[in-house]
Amino acid sequence: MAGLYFEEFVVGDIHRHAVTRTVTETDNLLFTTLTMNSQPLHLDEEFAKDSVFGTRIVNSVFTLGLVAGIHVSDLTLGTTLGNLGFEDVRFPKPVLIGDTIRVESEVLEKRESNSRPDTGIVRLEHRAFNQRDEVVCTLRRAAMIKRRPAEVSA
Amino acid sequence: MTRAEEGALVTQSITVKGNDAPGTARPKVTGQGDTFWEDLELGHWLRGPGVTITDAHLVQWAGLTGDWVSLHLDETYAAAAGFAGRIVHGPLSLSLSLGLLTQTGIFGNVTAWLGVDAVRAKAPVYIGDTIHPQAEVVLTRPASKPGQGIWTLEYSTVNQRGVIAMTFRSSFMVRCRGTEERGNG
Repeated sequence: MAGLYFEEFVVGDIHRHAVTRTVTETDNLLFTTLTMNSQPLHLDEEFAKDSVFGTRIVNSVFTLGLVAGIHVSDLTLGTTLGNLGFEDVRFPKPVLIGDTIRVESEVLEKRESNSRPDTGIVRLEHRAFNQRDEVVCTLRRAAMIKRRPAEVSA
Repeated sequence: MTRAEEGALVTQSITVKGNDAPGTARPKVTGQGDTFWEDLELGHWLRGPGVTITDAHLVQWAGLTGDWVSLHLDETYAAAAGFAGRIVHGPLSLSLSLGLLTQTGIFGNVTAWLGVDAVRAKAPVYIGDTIHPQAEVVLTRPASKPGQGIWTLEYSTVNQRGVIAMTFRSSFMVRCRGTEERGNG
Protein backbone atom coordinates (compact mmCIF):
# COMPACT_ATOMS: atom_id res chain seq x y z
CA MET A 1 0.00 0.00 0.00
CA ALA A 2 1.02 3.56 -0.52
CA GLY A 3 -0.14 6.83 0.93
CA LEU A 4 -2.62 9.20 -0.62
CA TYR A 5 -1.76 12.51 -2.18
CA PHE A 6 -3.64 15.60 -1.06
CA GLU A 7 -5.97 15.41 -4.06
CA GLU A 8 -6.90 11.82 -3.23
CA PHE A 9 -8.21 12.57 0.23
CA VAL A 10 -11.99 12.93 0.10
CA VAL A 11 -13.65 14.77 2.95
CA GLY A 12 -16.10 12.46 4.62
CA ASP A 13 -14.37 9.24 3.57
CA ILE A 14 -13.79 6.69 6.31
CA HIS A 15 -10.84 4.37 5.80
CA ARG A 16 -10.99 1.05 7.61
CA HIS A 17 -7.42 -0.15 7.95
CA ALA A 18 -6.94 -3.84 7.31
CA VAL A 19 -3.95 -4.30 9.61
CA THR A 20 -5.11 -5.19 13.11
CA ARG A 21 -3.21 -6.01 16.28
CA THR A 22 -3.75 -8.12 19.37
CA VAL A 23 -2.03 -6.29 22.20
CA THR A 24 0.16 -8.55 24.30
CA GLU A 25 1.63 -8.43 27.77
CA THR A 26 5.01 -7.98 26.12
CA ASP A 27 3.84 -4.91 24.19
CA ASN A 28 2.62 -3.33 27.39
CA LEU A 29 5.68 -4.21 29.46
CA LEU A 30 8.32 -3.17 26.96
CA PHE A 31 6.59 0.05 25.95
CA THR A 32 5.90 1.09 29.54
CA THR A 33 9.42 0.42 30.76
CA LEU A 34 11.08 1.82 27.65
CA THR A 35 9.24 5.10 28.21
CA MET A 36 10.24 5.09 31.90
CA ASN A 37 6.66 4.95 33.05
CA SER A 38 6.51 3.47 36.53
CA GLN A 39 2.70 3.43 36.72
CA PRO A 40 1.74 0.27 38.65
CA LEU A 41 -1.61 0.17 36.84
CA HIS A 42 0.43 -1.10 33.90
CA LEU A 43 3.10 -3.10 35.72
CA ASP A 44 1.79 -4.53 38.97
CA GLU A 45 -1.16 -6.94 38.81
CA GLU A 46 -1.54 -6.99 42.61
CA PHE A 47 -1.86 -3.23 42.65
CA ALA A 48 -4.16 -3.19 39.63
CA LYS A 49 -6.50 -5.77 41.21
CA ASP A 50 -7.58 -3.10 43.68
CA SER A 51 -8.15 -0.46 41.00
CA VAL A 52 -11.42 0.27 39.20
CA PHE A 53 -10.19 -1.86 36.31
CA GLY A 54 -9.56 -4.95 38.41
CA THR A 55 -6.49 -5.85 36.41
CA ARG A 56 -3.53 -4.27 34.61
CA ILE A 57 -4.47 -1.92 31.78
CA VAL A 58 -2.37 -1.31 28.72
CA ASN A 59 -0.38 1.93 28.57
CA SER A 60 -2.59 4.31 26.58
CA VAL A 61 0.40 5.83 24.84
CA PHE A 62 0.97 2.44 23.26
CA THR A 63 -2.60 2.56 21.96
CA LEU A 64 -1.91 6.06 20.66
CA GLY A 65 1.22 4.72 18.99
CA LEU A 66 -0.78 2.01 17.25
CA VAL A 67 -3.31 4.55 16.02
CA ALA A 68 -0.53 6.78 14.73
CA GLY A 69 1.21 3.85 13.10
CA ILE A 70 -1.45 1.58 11.66
CA HIS A 71 -2.93 4.14 9.27
CA VAL A 72 0.42 5.04 7.71
CA SER A 73 0.56 2.36 5.05
CA ASP A 74 -2.89 3.34 3.76
CA LEU A 75 -2.80 7.09 4.05
CA THR A 76 0.57 8.73 4.46
CA LEU A 77 3.31 6.39 3.28
CA GLY A 78 5.54 8.53 1.11
CA THR A 79 3.00 11.35 0.91
CA THR A 80 3.37 13.25 4.15
CA LEU A 81 5.85 15.90 5.13
CA GLY A 82 5.01 15.36 8.74
CA ASN A 83 2.58 15.31 11.57
CA LEU A 84 1.64 18.85 12.58
CA GLY A 85 0.48 17.76 15.98
CA PHE A 86 -2.21 15.98 17.88
CA GLU A 87 -5.16 18.22 18.60
CA ASP A 88 -7.38 16.04 20.65
CA VAL A 89 -6.66 12.64 22.11
CA ARG A 90 -9.23 10.67 24.08
CA PHE A 91 -9.19 7.25 25.65
CA PRO A 92 -12.86 6.47 26.33
CA LYS A 93 -12.23 2.89 27.40
CA PRO A 94 -9.14 1.07 28.66
CA VAL A 95 -7.30 -1.48 26.58
CA LEU A 96 -6.63 -4.76 28.32
CA ILE A 97 -3.89 -7.26 27.58
CA GLY A 98 -5.27 -9.60 24.92
CA ASP A 99 -7.57 -7.05 23.28
CA THR A 100 -7.46 -6.81 19.49
CA ILE A 101 -7.31 -3.30 18.08
CA ARG A 102 -8.48 -2.08 14.68
CA VAL A 103 -8.28 1.48 13.41
CA GLU A 104 -10.44 3.68 11.19
CA SER A 105 -9.58 7.11 9.86
CA GLU A 106 -12.07 9.75 8.79
CA VAL A 107 -11.12 12.70 6.60
CA LEU A 108 -12.56 15.76 8.35
CA GLU A 109 -11.37 18.58 6.17
CA LYS A 110 -8.60 19.66 3.90
CA ARG A 111 -7.16 22.91 2.68
CA GLU A 112 -4.28 24.01 0.55
CA SER A 113 -1.25 25.37 2.34
CA ASN A 114 -0.66 29.10 2.09
CA SER A 115 3.04 28.85 2.66
CA ARG A 116 3.88 25.72 0.67
CA PRO A 117 2.17 25.36 -2.70
CA ASP A 118 3.20 21.74 -3.09
CA THR A 119 1.44 20.59 0.04
CA GLY A 120 -1.93 20.74 1.70
CA ILE A 121 -3.24 20.26 5.18
CA VAL A 122 -5.56 17.34 5.86
CA ARG A 123 -7.35 17.04 9.19
CA LEU A 124 -8.11 13.50 10.22
CA GLU A 125 -9.86 11.73 13.02
CA HIS A 126 -8.47 8.29 13.76
CA ARG A 127 -10.55 5.93 15.88
CA ALA A 128 -9.40 2.70 17.48
CA PHE A 129 -11.83 -0.07 18.39
CA ASN A 130 -11.43 -3.23 20.40
CA GLN A 131 -12.86 -6.63 19.49
CA ARG A 132 -16.20 -5.61 21.07
CA ASP A 133 -16.37 -2.59 18.75
CA GLU A 134 -15.89 -0.24 21.68
CA VAL A 135 -13.96 2.94 20.98
CA VAL A 136 -10.69 2.86 22.89
CA CYS A 137 -9.03 5.89 21.34
CA THR A 138 -9.91 8.89 19.23
CA LEU A 139 -7.22 11.08 17.80
CA ARG A 140 -7.63 14.28 15.81
CA ARG A 141 -4.64 15.61 13.98
CA ALA A 142 -3.56 17.74 11.08
CA ALA A 143 -1.13 16.30 8.56
CA MET A 144 0.96 18.03 5.93
CA ILE A 145 0.30 16.07 2.77
CA LYS A 146 2.09 16.36 -0.54
CA ARG A 147 0.18 17.41 -3.60
CA ARG A 148 0.29 15.05 -6.55
CA PRO A 149 3.46 15.81 -8.49
CA ALA A 150 2.73 17.46 -11.81
CA GLU A 151 2.77 14.85 -14.54
CA VAL A 152 5.52 15.27 -17.04
CA SER A 153 4.37 14.50 -20.58
CA ALA A 154 6.81 13.44 -23.21
CA MET B 1 13.79 11.95 57.09
CA THR B 2 10.98 10.29 58.96
CA ARG B 3 10.69 6.57 59.35
CA ALA B 4 8.86 5.05 56.43
CA GLU B 5 5.48 3.61 57.19
CA GLU B 6 4.59 0.09 56.19
CA GLY B 7 3.31 -0.07 52.68
CA ALA B 8 4.31 3.50 51.86
CA LEU B 9 6.79 4.53 49.24
CA VAL B 10 9.54 6.79 50.46
CA THR B 11 9.80 9.50 47.84
CA GLN B 12 11.19 12.97 47.64
CA SER B 13 9.10 15.40 45.68
CA ILE B 14 9.08 19.13 45.78
CA THR B 15 6.34 21.26 44.31
CA VAL B 16 7.02 24.88 43.69
CA LYS B 17 4.15 27.22 44.48
CA GLY B 18 4.57 29.87 41.84
CA ASN B 19 3.55 33.37 42.75
CA ASP B 20 3.60 34.37 39.15
CA ALA B 21 1.36 33.42 36.28
CA PRO B 22 1.47 29.79 35.07
CA GLY B 23 4.65 28.97 33.23
CA THR B 24 6.72 31.65 34.91
CA ALA B 25 7.71 29.90 38.14
CA ARG B 26 11.30 28.77 38.27
CA PRO B 27 11.14 24.99 38.06
CA LYS B 28 12.60 22.93 40.83
CA VAL B 29 13.91 19.45 40.32
CA THR B 30 11.64 16.82 41.80
CA GLY B 31 12.09 13.17 42.48
CA GLN B 32 15.73 12.57 43.15
CA GLY B 33 18.58 14.65 44.42
CA ASP B 34 17.47 15.50 47.91
CA THR B 35 18.62 12.49 49.89
CA PHE B 36 22.16 12.53 51.20
CA TRP B 37 24.15 10.07 53.25
CA GLU B 38 23.09 11.57 56.58
CA ASP B 39 19.40 11.21 55.73
CA LEU B 40 19.14 7.48 56.24
CA GLU B 41 19.58 6.12 59.75
CA LEU B 42 20.29 2.64 60.95
CA GLY B 43 17.06 0.70 60.89
CA HIS B 44 15.42 2.94 58.29
CA TRP B 45 13.03 0.82 56.24
CA LEU B 46 12.13 1.26 52.59
CA ARG B 47 9.67 -0.33 50.20
CA GLY B 48 9.88 -0.18 46.43
CA PRO B 49 7.07 -0.66 43.91
CA GLY B 50 6.09 -4.10 42.67
CA VAL B 51 6.23 -5.53 39.19
CA THR B 52 4.38 -8.52 37.80
CA ILE B 53 6.80 -10.91 36.16
CA THR B 54 5.87 -11.78 32.60
CA ASP B 55 6.98 -14.29 30.03
CA ALA B 56 8.64 -11.33 28.30
CA HIS B 57 10.86 -10.71 31.33
CA LEU B 58 12.12 -14.25 31.26
CA VAL B 59 12.70 -14.53 27.56
CA GLN B 60 14.27 -11.08 27.23
CA TRP B 61 16.60 -11.70 30.17
CA ALA B 62 17.66 -15.07 28.81
CA GLY B 63 18.37 -13.52 25.44
CA LEU B 64 20.17 -10.46 26.75
CA THR B 65 22.36 -12.29 29.23
CA GLY B 66 22.81 -15.52 27.31
CA ASP B 67 21.52 -17.51 30.27
CA TRP B 68 19.66 -20.32 28.54
CA VAL B 69 19.63 -22.71 31.47
CA SER B 70 16.65 -24.94 30.91
CA LEU B 71 15.09 -24.19 34.30
CA HIS B 72 14.12 -20.85 32.79
CA LEU B 73 13.25 -21.75 29.23
CA ASP B 74 11.96 -25.32 29.27
CA GLU B 75 8.68 -26.02 31.06
CA THR B 76 9.15 -29.80 31.08
CA TYR B 77 12.72 -29.54 32.40
CA ALA B 78 11.61 -27.18 35.17
CA ALA B 79 8.79 -29.54 36.13
CA ALA B 80 11.16 -32.49 36.24
CA ALA B 81 13.42 -30.46 38.54
CA GLY B 82 10.51 -30.02 40.93
CA PHE B 83 9.21 -26.60 40.03
CA ALA B 84 5.68 -25.57 39.11
CA GLY B 85 6.91 -24.17 35.81
CA ARG B 86 9.74 -22.14 34.34
CA ILE B 87 11.42 -20.16 37.09
CA VAL B 88 12.72 -16.63 36.92
CA HIS B 89 16.52 -16.27 36.80
CA GLY B 90 17.81 -15.45 40.26
CA PRO B 91 19.91 -12.59 38.90
CA LEU B 92 16.78 -11.15 37.29
CA SER B 93 15.00 -11.09 40.66
CA LEU B 94 18.13 -9.51 42.13
CA SER B 95 18.29 -6.87 39.42
CA LEU B 96 14.58 -6.08 39.64
CA SER B 97 14.88 -5.64 43.41
CA LEU B 98 17.86 -3.30 43.07
CA GLY B 99 16.20 -1.44 40.23
CA LEU B 100 12.74 -1.01 41.72
CA LEU B 101 14.14 0.30 44.99
CA THR B 102 15.78 3.15 43.11
CA GLN B 103 12.29 4.42 42.38
CA THR B 104 12.05 5.52 46.00
CA GLY B 105 14.25 8.40 44.89
CA ILE B 106 16.92 7.93 47.56
CA PHE B 107 19.78 7.38 45.16
CA GLY B 108 19.98 10.90 43.78
CA ASN B 109 23.41 11.47 45.33
CA VAL B 110 24.92 8.04 44.94
CA THR B 111 28.52 8.16 43.70
CA ALA B 112 29.27 4.45 43.49
CA TRP B 113 27.74 1.03 43.84
CA LEU B 114 30.12 -0.93 46.01
CA GLY B 115 28.78 -4.41 45.56
CA VAL B 116 26.37 -7.05 46.66
CA ASP B 117 26.87 -9.78 49.23
CA ALA B 118 25.13 -12.76 50.69
CA VAL B 119 22.64 -13.29 47.88
CA ARG B 120 20.34 -16.12 48.89
CA ALA B 121 17.59 -17.50 46.69
CA LYS B 122 14.98 -18.57 49.22
CA ALA B 123 11.97 -19.44 47.07
CA PRO B 124 11.34 -19.69 43.33
CA VAL B 125 9.76 -16.84 41.42
CA TYR B 126 7.38 -17.73 38.62
CA ILE B 127 5.81 -15.95 35.66
CA GLY B 128 2.72 -14.22 37.02
CA ASP B 129 4.22 -13.52 40.44
CA THR B 130 4.36 -9.92 41.57
CA ILE B 131 7.54 -9.08 43.46
CA HIS B 132 8.56 -5.92 45.28
CA PRO B 133 11.72 -5.04 47.20
CA GLN B 134 11.95 -4.03 50.83
CA ALA B 135 15.18 -2.86 52.37
CA GLU B 136 16.51 -1.95 55.78
CA VAL B 137 19.57 0.15 56.51
CA VAL B 138 21.88 -2.19 58.43
CA LEU B 139 25.01 -0.10 58.26
CA THR B 140 25.81 3.54 57.73
CA ARG B 141 29.30 4.96 58.22
CA PRO B 142 31.48 7.78 56.89
CA ALA B 143 33.73 6.74 54.03
CA SER B 144 37.46 7.28 54.00
CA LYS B 145 36.81 9.65 51.10
CA PRO B 146 35.93 13.08 52.50
CA GLY B 147 32.37 14.23 52.04
CA GLN B 148 30.99 10.76 51.39
CA GLY B 149 29.48 7.96 53.39
CA ILE B 150 28.45 4.36 52.92
CA TRP B 151 25.06 2.73 53.27
CA THR B 152 24.55 -0.99 53.45
CA LEU B 153 20.99 -2.09 52.81
CA GLU B 154 19.60 -5.52 53.56
CA TYR B 155 17.11 -6.30 50.81
CA SER B 156 14.19 -8.71 50.76
CA THR B 157 12.44 -9.63 47.52
CA VAL B 158 8.83 -10.26 48.53
CA ASN B 159 6.11 -11.87 46.41
CA GLN B 160 2.36 -11.29 46.37
CA ARG B 161 1.82 -13.86 49.12
CA GLY B 162 4.31 -12.15 51.42
CA VAL B 163 6.87 -14.90 50.86
CA ILE B 164 10.49 -13.76 50.77
CA ALA B 165 11.98 -15.09 47.54
CA MET B 166 15.46 -13.64 47.95
CA THR B 167 17.63 -11.75 50.41
CA PHE B 168 20.87 -9.91 49.81
CA ARG B 169 22.96 -6.99 50.99
CA SER B 170 24.08 -4.13 48.83
CA SER B 171 26.31 -1.19 49.62
CA PHE B 172 26.51 2.27 48.14
CA MET B 173 28.78 5.29 48.40
CA VAL B 174 26.71 8.44 48.86
CA ARG B 175 27.52 12.15 49.03
CA CYS B 176 27.19 13.94 52.32
CA ARG B 177 25.01 17.00 52.65
CA GLY B 178 26.90 20.22 52.12
CA THR B 179 29.45 18.83 49.72
CA GLU B 180 29.54 20.12 46.16
CA GLU B 181 26.12 19.47 44.69
CA ARG B 182 24.99 19.18 41.12
CA GLY B 183 23.34 22.58 41.20
CA ASN B 184 19.81 21.31 41.54
CA GLY B 185 18.93 23.73 44.34
